[in-house]
Amino acid sequence: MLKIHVIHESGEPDHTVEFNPVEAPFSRDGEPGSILDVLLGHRVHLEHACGGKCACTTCHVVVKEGEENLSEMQDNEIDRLDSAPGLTMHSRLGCQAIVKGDVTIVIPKFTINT
Amino acid sequence: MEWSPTTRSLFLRLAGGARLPFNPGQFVSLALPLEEGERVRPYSLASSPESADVLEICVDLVPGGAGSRYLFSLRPGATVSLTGPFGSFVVNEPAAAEMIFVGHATGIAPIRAMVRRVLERGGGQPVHVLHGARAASEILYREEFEAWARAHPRLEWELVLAGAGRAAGENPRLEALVAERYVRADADRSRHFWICGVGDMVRRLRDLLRGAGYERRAVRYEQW
Repeated sequence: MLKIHVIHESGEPDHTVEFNPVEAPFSRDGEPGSILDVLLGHRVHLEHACGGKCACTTCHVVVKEGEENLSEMQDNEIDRLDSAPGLTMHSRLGCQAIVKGDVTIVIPKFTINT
Repeated sequence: MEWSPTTRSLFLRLAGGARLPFNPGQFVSLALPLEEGERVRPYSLASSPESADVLEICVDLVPGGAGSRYLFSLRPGATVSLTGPFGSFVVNEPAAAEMIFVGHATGIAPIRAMVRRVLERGGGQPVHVLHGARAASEILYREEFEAWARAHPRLEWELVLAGAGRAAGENPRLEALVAERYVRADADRSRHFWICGVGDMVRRLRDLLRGAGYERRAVRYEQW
């Protein structure tokens, strides 16, 4: 079992989602086993205006721990992440980052991109 | 408006006469009340920001697709919930280089808005639209593009049919044309591209052009 610990920059309560990666997909949005897929499948909200198709940055998260446990960033994500508000060196798009070990993420207060 | 039995344009008027400012190429996110629960689905805006009181989106009826089936069931006067605009697949000012817009099937929707903006802003750079469709009966906005091409000598609109029997989103003729004209034909790598469609062809075109030496930021794309 793997864990995603979710911290909300807005101050909402933290969540810890525990899941078995072999059971992916958990929802119908985002890459199977991605942060978005896992969170939506466990009723934890993460914005995803494009339905998890890597066409926006509303699922932008900042990885606090376990960055090495996420799949390598591909071109799709690199191309889109440029326009994420509040971009950091540890930013990922939730719909693309596939979870392979425990991670702690922060959901930024502002996720809308124009 | 029905383009074919499986493709429609839906026209959305915001409540209270509101207007939605957006950049040509952006999309809106519709919250659809489906049996499985609310799902968000993105739709590129085919209309122009100048007519922001009525938004036009193009919808394909996807086999097994609950979202598109729901939208196809709507009657005039129905209400949908949307947010937006979103997306960075945009053009606001004409590029200082040859501009090539590649849109296959409903992928032409955001390109329609972008090309109109480019033509309105003027400039002398050539503008090419490679308009892909499976068959002649499935071409969206054909008369409009033809009229623009007649009115603007720097616009070349070219239809590239995939042929019957092709899977949705696939157009090998379009891919071959891009490879021949923009990769093999010359060493010019100053061009700018905007590519939109459904399926892996979009990313193959992206990789083809970037691999041939076009700058990453000069090859913009949106794959649905």
